[in-house]
Amino acid sequence: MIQNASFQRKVLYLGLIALLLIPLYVIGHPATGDPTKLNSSPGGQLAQLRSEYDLAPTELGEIDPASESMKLATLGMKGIAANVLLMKANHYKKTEEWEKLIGAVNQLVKLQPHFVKVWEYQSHNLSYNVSVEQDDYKFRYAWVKKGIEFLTKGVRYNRHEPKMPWTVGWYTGQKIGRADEHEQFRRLFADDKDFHVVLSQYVPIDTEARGADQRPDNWLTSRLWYENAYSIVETGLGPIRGKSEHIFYSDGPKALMNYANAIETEGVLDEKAQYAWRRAGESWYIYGDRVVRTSWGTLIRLNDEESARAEALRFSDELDKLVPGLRERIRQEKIAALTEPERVALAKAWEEISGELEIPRKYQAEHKTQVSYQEVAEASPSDVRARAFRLAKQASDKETEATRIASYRNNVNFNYWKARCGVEQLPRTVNARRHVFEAKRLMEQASIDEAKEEFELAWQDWGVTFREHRELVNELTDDDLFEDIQEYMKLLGQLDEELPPDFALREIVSKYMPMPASESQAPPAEADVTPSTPGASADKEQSKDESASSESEKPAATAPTPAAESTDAPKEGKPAEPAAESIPPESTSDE
Amino acid sequence: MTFDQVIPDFGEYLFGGFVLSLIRVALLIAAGVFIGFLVASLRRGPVEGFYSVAKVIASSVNDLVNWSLRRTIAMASLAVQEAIRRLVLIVFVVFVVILLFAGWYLDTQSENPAKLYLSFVLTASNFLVVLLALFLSAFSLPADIKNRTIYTIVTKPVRAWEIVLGRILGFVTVGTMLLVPMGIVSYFFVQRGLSHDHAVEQVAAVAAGNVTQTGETTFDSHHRHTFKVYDDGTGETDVVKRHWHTVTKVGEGDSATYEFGPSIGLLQARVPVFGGLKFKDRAGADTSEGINVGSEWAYRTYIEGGSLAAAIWTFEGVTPERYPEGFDLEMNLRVFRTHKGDMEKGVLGSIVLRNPNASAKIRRSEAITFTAKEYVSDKQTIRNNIRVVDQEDGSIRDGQLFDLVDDEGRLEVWIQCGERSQYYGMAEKDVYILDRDAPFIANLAKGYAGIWLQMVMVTSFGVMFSTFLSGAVAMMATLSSFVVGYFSTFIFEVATGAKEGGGPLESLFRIVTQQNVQVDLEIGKTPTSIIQGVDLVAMMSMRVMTGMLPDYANFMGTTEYVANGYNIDGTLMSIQLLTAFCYVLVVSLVAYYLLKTREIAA
Repeated sequence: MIQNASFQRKVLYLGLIALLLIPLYVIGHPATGDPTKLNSSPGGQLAQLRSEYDLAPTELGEIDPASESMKLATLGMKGIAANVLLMKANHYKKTEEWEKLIGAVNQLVKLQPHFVKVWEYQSHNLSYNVSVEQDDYKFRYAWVKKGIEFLTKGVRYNRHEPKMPWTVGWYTGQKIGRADEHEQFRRLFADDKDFHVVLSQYVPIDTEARGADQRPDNWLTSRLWYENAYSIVETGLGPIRGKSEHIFYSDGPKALMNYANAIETEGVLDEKAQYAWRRAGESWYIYGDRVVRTSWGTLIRLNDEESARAEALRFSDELDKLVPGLRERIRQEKIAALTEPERVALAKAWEEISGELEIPRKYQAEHKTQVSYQEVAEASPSDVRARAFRLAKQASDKETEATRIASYRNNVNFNYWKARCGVEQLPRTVNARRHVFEAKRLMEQASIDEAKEEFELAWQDWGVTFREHRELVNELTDDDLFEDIQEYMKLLGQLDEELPPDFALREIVSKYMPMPASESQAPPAEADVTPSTPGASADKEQSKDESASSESEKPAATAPTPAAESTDAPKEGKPAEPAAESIPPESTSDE
Repeated sequence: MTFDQVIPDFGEYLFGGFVLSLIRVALLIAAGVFIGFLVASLRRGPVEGFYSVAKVIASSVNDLVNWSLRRTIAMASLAVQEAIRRLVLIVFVVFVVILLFAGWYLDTQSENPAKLYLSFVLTASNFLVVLLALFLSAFSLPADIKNRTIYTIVTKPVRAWEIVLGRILGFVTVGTMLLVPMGIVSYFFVQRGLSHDHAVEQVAAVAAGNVTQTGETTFDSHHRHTFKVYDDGTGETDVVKRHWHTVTKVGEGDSATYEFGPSIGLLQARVPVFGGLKFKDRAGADTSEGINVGSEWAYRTYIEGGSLAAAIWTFEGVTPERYPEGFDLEMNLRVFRTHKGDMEKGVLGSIVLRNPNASAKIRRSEAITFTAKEYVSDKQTIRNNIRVVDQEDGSIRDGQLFDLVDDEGRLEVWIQCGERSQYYGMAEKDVYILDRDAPFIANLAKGYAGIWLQMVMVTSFGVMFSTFLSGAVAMMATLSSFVVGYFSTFIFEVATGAKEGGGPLESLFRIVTQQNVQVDLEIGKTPTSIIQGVDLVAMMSMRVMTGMLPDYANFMGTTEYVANGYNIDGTLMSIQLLTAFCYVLVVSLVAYYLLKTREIAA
């Protein structure tokens, strides 16, 4: 009897379990078949929700039986196990047990294969932190590679995360191409056919990343990874996280520029270099045409700044024609309302302003006497007021758009790279760079006189380029060229000579090496030809430093930067820049 | 591998730590007897109390004197049969299954695959066997008591001592029966996992000395080698992933083929002879350690290049009988650069051998220059015939290595970094004389012996706990003793306040309230005092616990030697053997008294 009751109880329990399984199956059964075809099932409610919110591992990326069984083996204590592994990894890093470290991080990612930050953090650990601990550059390269290989595994598990291929691109480009050992790293990368085999599983390295010497190039490979990241976003598989769109999309074209720059540095100074710059320039143009979302929620194209500004000017002119003289009248009224000291300050040019009180006074006066489109429209006669308001709004909107584009351009140094690509693809520029390269080679061989000749040939070419492309002077007077000039000056020093008075690039020298007051001549009209954005030079420096975190390149979230707001107003604290820029190339120093 | 575990001299251990421990155990026993006397006195009066304690001691002596090996073996065989009945051999099947799926979890691209494979098999064996010992020993006696099958034994003329010893012996036999095949399977698993072949991918004729061909192998097992062939048709590959191959050229001309031998250097058991380390600072003054270059881990310290700073190892027992041809010096130095220098070249340094005897005619050898290599064992061969500096006239002439060894067989090895503003980093065990290569299989067996000792100790603890606790509780108690023993170093650091964050309660409080470990608790004086007061008691008991339990991590540490290709030192083995024996003895004794008490109660 007792045995019978026990048996009945067991049957009852089994029956209840079976009953509970039915609703569980109904809500949880997985999707079957291709959803686009007939006879497929979207799965139970839970499966559908998982799919909708991208929570199912199958939605995130590859399923690895090792990973799944390891998660099961932790009996629900995955978090604790991951913490223990993370602590172990940190300990191994501290005690320089690199093999154990990589073992621990491999186990860690098996537990958390869809946790992107783990992949990013640990790959950075391998490619940067462990790599730098090695004294032998070959070992360093091996660890950079390990980090990249590690990250590529993460790409498989997280196919909807553009950040993953983007990071692989960043390491492949920046770590290999910009480390102190970049010469050695680039060489090792080009020779590393086994690594190429690994990478070719993900990107067409064999066909689209071959450099000037027909071997795979790290910068071109990195571009392919960026393109992978872009296609994830463009096909709607995953969003860009933690990065502005315009920054995110700039890295692909910049990789092409870095490639062009790298091969020139390595001595490839022929039509291959020209082609590389042309290709980079085209890519930059396409990038400028890409519609990107701003932090204000509007959509812009970086190429549109000039057209937006022209439009704003057109609307402004129309407004002035509609109510002739009105703007000036309002301005005069505002001037009349100023205090006497403010009026005096306003009447002076910025160069004449001096003293702690006068500078803010001048700013205040300028600010108070600005006339907005809105004010002009409000003061318009009633018969044209409606039209005036419409024009005022259109002019103001276009101006805002142009200002915002300018601000975004500054973030990626758009104008600099545009100008650089434009000039670098010219045969004369490549020629000039070849002369500099040759001069440096001769200097290493202690052939001073020959080196000097080569340098002079280079300055001749540069001089012509600058004369023909005056609009590029401000953009291209960067350290790329100044470093070469410094080398030349060093060489002259060895010959006990000074920079010749007719030196074609004196303008650049003056900019980066301020000369005594006697040498700084008053600016001729040419200085006005190329107005520059105050502070642009400093921005350029920062933006050119590719190793700086790209997150820091985000635009201001709420308002345009002051530099972007008023692009043509000189600023306090930058007095040297306009003065230095105003020295013409022809000016002499010893007269 | 870092040798941060200090192995004492066996004599030092025996007459220092070991004897001290024995005295402690004797005191504990005396205290136990005294407490027993006090309890009995309270219940029955001092005379009766004394009488019952004396009776227990007398019967114990009787049990010990009349101990029968035959009965103990009979009990052991019963335990073995019981274990086999409980299908413990399934553990071996589990082990084989783990090996079958090992490829899923092992990083086969590792730079040191031998270490990876060996660590894996040794760790898996270790934990499986310990778990087995845990389950077997903890559940057996309680099940017997619960099922009353114990009465069929205790009614026979079997003593409690024999029951305890019999169980331990039986379970150890079962564990050994599993561990031995595990070891054998592990060896073949590692052999198979590491064995690989290469073929020639490309080869080119060269004329550089006696090298006639150089080439590259195919990419197999995640690596490839370059190789060179000499004019006699033999050759070798370079060292990649800690191994190399011999190359044999067969045939001539276009029809020549190249055969690669099995990998060499993967499975080894190097026998290092360590020396003592002292330093000279940049001005040449004696100092006990070098400079810290900002590393959080202070295991290694650094010497400055281009200065008088030097690291000096003093080796003992350097005799012509031991090293008739000279010896190999293995170095694992670190490099720290304060400027890039030449990226493609390593940092240069020098080795000078010196006679510790200040009045010796020949004080030092000519400097042997080398380029420091990191993260690989850099071998420098010191031959018997070396160039020495004559102390009298400063001339350099041919000499003998043993001219630089003093009468006590001591030799100093001075290492200096040659480049200004660059540094060499080192710890005492980073430079050693490579005495010989011991057989790998013997070393693996020693590694497994370390696992076996752990199993024996866990079994003893399991049997001891099972004499007075129910099965599940005994298992938890044994597991706890294992965990506490395994983390005893960490627990001791917490108990002594060496770890930041306070005792267990304070740490818990900090975790819950997310308070930094480096600042004082922000809850006022009184609550802080209460928490720290409770912790003080907890920490004292933690100290006692760690002192009483075996340091299992230390035992597991021996497997690191095997994995890293170092021979397990005989002294270490002896110390571990003696330690384990003492634990088993003391724990068995405690188990005997506990079972005896339980028998009386029953």
